[in-house]
Amino acid sequence: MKRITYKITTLLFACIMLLSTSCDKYLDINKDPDNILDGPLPQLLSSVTVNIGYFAGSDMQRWSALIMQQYSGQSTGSENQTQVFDRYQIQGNDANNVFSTIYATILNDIDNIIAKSGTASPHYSGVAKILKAYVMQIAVDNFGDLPFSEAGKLLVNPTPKYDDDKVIYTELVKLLDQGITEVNAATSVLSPTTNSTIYPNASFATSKVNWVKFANTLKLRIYLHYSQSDNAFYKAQTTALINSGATFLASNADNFQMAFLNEANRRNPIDQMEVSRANYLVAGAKLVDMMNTRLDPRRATYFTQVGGAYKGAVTGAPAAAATYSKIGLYLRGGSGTTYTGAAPIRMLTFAEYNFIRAEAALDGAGAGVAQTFFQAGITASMTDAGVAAADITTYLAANGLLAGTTEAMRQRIIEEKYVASYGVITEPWTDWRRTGYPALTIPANAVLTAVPRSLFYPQSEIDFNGANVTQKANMLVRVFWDTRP
Amino acid sequence: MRRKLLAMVLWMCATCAQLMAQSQTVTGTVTDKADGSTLPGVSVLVKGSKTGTQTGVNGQFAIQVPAGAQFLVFSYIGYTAQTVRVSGNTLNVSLEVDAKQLSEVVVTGFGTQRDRKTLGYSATSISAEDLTQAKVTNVSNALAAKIPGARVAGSGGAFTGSSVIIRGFTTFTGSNQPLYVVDGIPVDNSGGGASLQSGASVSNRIVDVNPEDIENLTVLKGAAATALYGSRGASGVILITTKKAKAGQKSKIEFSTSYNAIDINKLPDYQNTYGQGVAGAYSATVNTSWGPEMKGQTVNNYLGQPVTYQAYPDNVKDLFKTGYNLQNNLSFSGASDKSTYRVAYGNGTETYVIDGNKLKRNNLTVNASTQLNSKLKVGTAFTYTNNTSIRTQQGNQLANPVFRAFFTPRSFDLMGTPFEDAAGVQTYFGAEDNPLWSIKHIKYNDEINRVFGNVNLRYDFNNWLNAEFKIGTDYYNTKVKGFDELGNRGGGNAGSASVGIGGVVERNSNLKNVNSTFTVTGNKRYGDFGVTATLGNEVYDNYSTNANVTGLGLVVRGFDNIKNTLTYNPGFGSSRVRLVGFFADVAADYKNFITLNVKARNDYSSTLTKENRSIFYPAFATSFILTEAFPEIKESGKINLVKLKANWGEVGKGAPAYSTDSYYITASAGDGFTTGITFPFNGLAGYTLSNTAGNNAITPEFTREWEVGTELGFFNNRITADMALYRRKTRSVILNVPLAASSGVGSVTKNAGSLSTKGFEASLGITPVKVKDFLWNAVGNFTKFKSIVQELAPGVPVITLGGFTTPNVRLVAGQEYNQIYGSKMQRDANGKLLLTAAGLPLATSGVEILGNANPDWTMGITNTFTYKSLSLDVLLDIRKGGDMYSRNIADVIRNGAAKETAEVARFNADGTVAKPYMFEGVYAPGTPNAGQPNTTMITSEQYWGNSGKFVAAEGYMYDTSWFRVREANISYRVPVSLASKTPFGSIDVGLFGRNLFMHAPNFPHFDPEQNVLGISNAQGLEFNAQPSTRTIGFNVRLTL
Repeated sequence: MKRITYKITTLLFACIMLLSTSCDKYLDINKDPDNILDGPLPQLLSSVTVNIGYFAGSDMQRWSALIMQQYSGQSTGSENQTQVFDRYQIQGNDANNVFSTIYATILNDIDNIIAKSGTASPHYSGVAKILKAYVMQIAVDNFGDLPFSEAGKLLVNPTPKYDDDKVIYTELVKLLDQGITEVNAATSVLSPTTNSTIYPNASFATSKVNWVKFANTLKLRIYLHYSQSDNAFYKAQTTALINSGATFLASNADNFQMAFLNEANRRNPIDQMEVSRANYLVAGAKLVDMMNTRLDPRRATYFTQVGGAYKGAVTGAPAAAATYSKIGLYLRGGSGTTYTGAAPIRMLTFAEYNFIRAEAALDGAGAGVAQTFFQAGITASMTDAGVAAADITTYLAANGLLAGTTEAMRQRIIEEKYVASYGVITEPWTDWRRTGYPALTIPANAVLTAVPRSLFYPQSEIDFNGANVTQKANMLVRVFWDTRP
Repeated sequence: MRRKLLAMVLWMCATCAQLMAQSQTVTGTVTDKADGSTLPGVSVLVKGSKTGTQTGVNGQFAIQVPAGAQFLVFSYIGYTAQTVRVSGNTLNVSLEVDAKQLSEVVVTGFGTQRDRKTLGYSATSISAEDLTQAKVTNVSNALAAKIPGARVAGSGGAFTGSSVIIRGFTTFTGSNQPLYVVDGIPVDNSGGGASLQSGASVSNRIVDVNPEDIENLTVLKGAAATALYGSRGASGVILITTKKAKAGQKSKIEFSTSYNAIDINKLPDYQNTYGQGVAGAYSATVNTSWGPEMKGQTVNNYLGQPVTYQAYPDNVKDLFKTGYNLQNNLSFSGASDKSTYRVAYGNGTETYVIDGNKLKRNNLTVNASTQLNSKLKVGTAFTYTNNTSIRTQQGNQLANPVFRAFFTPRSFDLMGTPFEDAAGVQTYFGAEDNPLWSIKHIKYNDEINRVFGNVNLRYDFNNWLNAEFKIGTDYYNTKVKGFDELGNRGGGNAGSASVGIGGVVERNSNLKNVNSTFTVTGNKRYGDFGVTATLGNEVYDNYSTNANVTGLGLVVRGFDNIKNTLTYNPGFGSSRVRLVGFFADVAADYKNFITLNVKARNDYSSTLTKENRSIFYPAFATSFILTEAFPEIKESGKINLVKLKANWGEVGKGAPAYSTDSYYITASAGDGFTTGITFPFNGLAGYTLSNTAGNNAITPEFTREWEVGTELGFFNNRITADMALYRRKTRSVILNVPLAASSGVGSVTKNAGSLSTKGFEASLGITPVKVKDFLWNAVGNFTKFKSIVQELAPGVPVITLGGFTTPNVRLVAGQEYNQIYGSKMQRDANGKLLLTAAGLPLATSGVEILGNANPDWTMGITNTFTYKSLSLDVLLDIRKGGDMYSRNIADVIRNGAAKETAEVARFNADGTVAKPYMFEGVYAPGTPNAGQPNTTMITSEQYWGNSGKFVAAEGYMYDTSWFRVREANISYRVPVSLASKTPFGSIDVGLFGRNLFMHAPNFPHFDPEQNVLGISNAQGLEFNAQPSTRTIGFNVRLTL
């Protein structure tokens, strides 16, 4: 009996010794073999540029185009969410995904690129900073005050404070200046090439020219936004920038845009929306009527026809999606009635540059004549929309003259910019908030008595960062530059 | 750790003692009276003394009997004890199985069995007969209404299983399903959680176990009961013991077959007065039945063909067919005095009420054991399962055949109108897939090849000490293929990116689970004291991989091959979890009436960092049998058993794999409305820092529970009762805590929050009639528990478990688990509806509580009537309360198909649309008569439609209370006198049925036993659910 007990005890001890010494090693397996602990710069940038391109054609693009009545929410019967948006009911919950994309995906990876580039690869950090400035500019124009200085610190600060939107705007210009300096650096261990889906080029020496042009043009856009809140600043900065010899977008080839592919799961988001949410969006009557009036040749690629005509839905009209023009080839890509989804998402175009310059010229900021830029803008837009040269000439002959008061001329500039910016995220709404053009009719079923001036903060921020942000009373709360009475 | 174990070993050794020498030696063998097999471990006691021994592995014993002693008492759990007079030196005894007692032997741990009477915690056993009486394919469905303390609910659709929640919810976002253990080896039961908006239903993988192979199923509920099973047993353990031959059993061939028909158990009540159309006018392209009255007019259908405008009262009914379930089982078993074997083959084929669904299962089970010598026993048990199925689509998606079919316009000839042209291009008036086209062309099939089983060695050092080693595996491969034909309107298998262009999904996944246990068990009596002690070690390694590719854009119609697509999106993932655990289980009793059981387990989990990986948790259980302590109580026969029990226990748990680090993952882009971008994009790879952050500070999650209970028996056990009251609390819950996205990360895995459950469970058995040939036995069980989310993470008020913006299912701090949230109708301060100028209600823009999915209580009642060889079992299933958001109910009403929508004439005599309804309420602010009572009359369509009763999610809520005859079974054993004239030893025949009757007073048109998210924590949403079924069949069992 004792012998047996002894044996067992020995056996048990042997087992336990064996187990406990090899135990830790046996259990040290908690590293995911299918993912990596460190992401390389080139692949991070690919993710960032694709996400920016997709973001600029998604929710916020749809909301601004619905508010601006370039699109109209429709359905074939039971109410679609786009019809709810049309009533100016864009709720906090609707913006949760947007914030996740902006902060947790795009800005997070941009910050990672900046951190990983260090001083070794300024070409990467430079591009990342320019992109960061662009994304934050869009974000501020939609929301106003936002987390910026404390954002993206991950678990170090899970509840970042909200910075004054005006302060963020000044930081954006600094970011662009740094970005320009860094992309111009003589040496960089790594440089973006074709892995950037925006301005892809085998040679960074070539693409950096594009990045600089874009950064400068974005600065022009940012300065323009001050036109109401600080007109002197807008004029002075615009003038100074133009006179500095800075390069700007010089042709449609310089457009800040991202191309998509005719391939499932790689199509552009506007086309994807049309495929997976057919009848959610149709052309808006505001835009279509304006273009019908001027017999705009861009309608052929902007819209589909219904019964041989272009017909937009009045925002808030009853469900009858089949009776209205849909989004056309210009935004979806393809030819005839076959859509490829390969059209680019346009984020800042040469056309817009010209309209910015036209308005600046009108305001005496920078050299040049408003009329020239105005026509150049229309021409750039029409060329991009596949309009024949002869038709452009005809259109310009009929509609290309700026006349009347400064305000009348501004109205024409913004109207043409509104048409040219079809599919561009937020900027048409920003122009309306600054200038009031084009005049909008508030839908009969709207839940507000005026056109919204900013978006609600995401419900997720209210829920999980409540100490730093409270929800807006309504969508009439304004961004700092929005001071138009 | 080593020191702790050493202490345990020493403690156990200290309990060793030598037998005292005695004068006379009596030897003998104890056998089973029924089949002559030898019985090891039988307690042999000299009556009136403290001297005793146990029989050895071959049933032999030797005992020193003091001079003057006259009787030996032989007792063995499950058998009637015998007192035998000592005469001479040899004594051979045969014991008889105690029918009453047999079920009272309970497997409680790794290979250990205990007498239920001495347990200090609850354990419910279900016999093979009770389990298989309705011949269900999936054993989880056979548990409904049979287990006090467990809430079992099916999830609807084809071949799905049941969610089994034992004593409440124990965790937030992890699984709350119990651990299934087959012959001591845990088997995987993953799957069963349905996807909200794509794909076919999936079976939970316990479906691979053939219920016909099960001898006994025991449910361990509380933490004190399950502690030894480690972290995976935190939500309860279901122990399955498979059928084996008993030593000495005669060779036997057994064949059984069963066949049953499967029908839809409830169809909506339809109106057949008004046909397809809207606002009282005919339209060929709408789903609604708000059209004109059907009077045989001629109208053009959506194809432009003239058709008669008439009712097709069975247009929905005819979509459903009668399915069947055919099961055959053949087994060979037998034993010598040293070896046993059982070889069994089973096959089953089950179809569903929707064409295009078929599940086939083949099970081959082999088990064998042999006593190599007096000390060493070797055994093995393995099951190979081949399980294939084809399935149609489910969920809230256009390819689900019943996405809109339940409200097919009353005038639409669904079965008689072509659904495709000669080329196979579908045709339908709606925007969804034609149900018949989807059934034919949107295909899903899967095949599972699975092996599970174990090899075990047992060494008996002597008659009180043994060691056992068991190593087992559960390995299976799943192959899935999904095919979406060109021209599909729903996302089907490949997701919304395949819409129109078709797609193919190929998935291949493997799961490998290796489990080993080593235990040393001592069992000894010292006079009035008895001790059973087990020391053990468990090691497991769980590895799973999943490789898949989705091909989009079919080239050739009908060619369901991945090569036939234009874009490929691959995916791969794997997960490995290991655990090493040490445990001890010591039970000591005094005269069998007071028992104290101490358990402890220490796990080392690979999912936590080195510093945090040790997880220690203890349990204590005690029982006191009053009627054994004071046997005089029993003398009258009126009181047979009074037992009190109490226990306290804890179970610890590690984290999900790989949650201690943050990873860069393959990038993607998307929004809430579109399919998004999949990398590689244009030849580029993309990586992004995962939005879910890792956390190396995660510590174990603990569930702690106390329980008090009693077991009672009266009037010769004609009345028995078993009750338990418990309280459970989970703390340091490991969950994905959502963060503000502006931090740069969407969520982090961390310990946060706590959850508590209070519950009561009882079973009551009554034998109202017991006469010579007739027995009526009724057993009822009752389950009531309520789980409250006490707190979530700081700053986190809500965690959404599933659903949509409205409705969704949430965990909310301070509220009951599984709250259903959604929009409500707007009301004023007095609770009156606010109505528009048109007299219609308004929906709130935010979401509010609409209800709770958890029933107040559930009850099962089994009535067994036995007359000679004829017996009838009827299982009643009663559920009180529990809310559900039902899309199906809303659909048949709001689209004008349901009976009530025609209860009032929709047209005036002059043919204009009538306005017979009015909402009670006041005009909303902003309307001309704001605050004034509503006087605006509205049409039936407005009242019952999307802008009326169903304007908000509130209108979709229904109470699921039900009463149903869950199972019924009549069985007859042909008398031996007749059977002996056939080649068969015994013949049993039976009739059985499931869901034979269902009454849900507050749930119109459909069966409320549904859940769109399948077996998941989120319960209470029904979206376009496929129908529940009723089965009726017969079975035959022959032995040779």
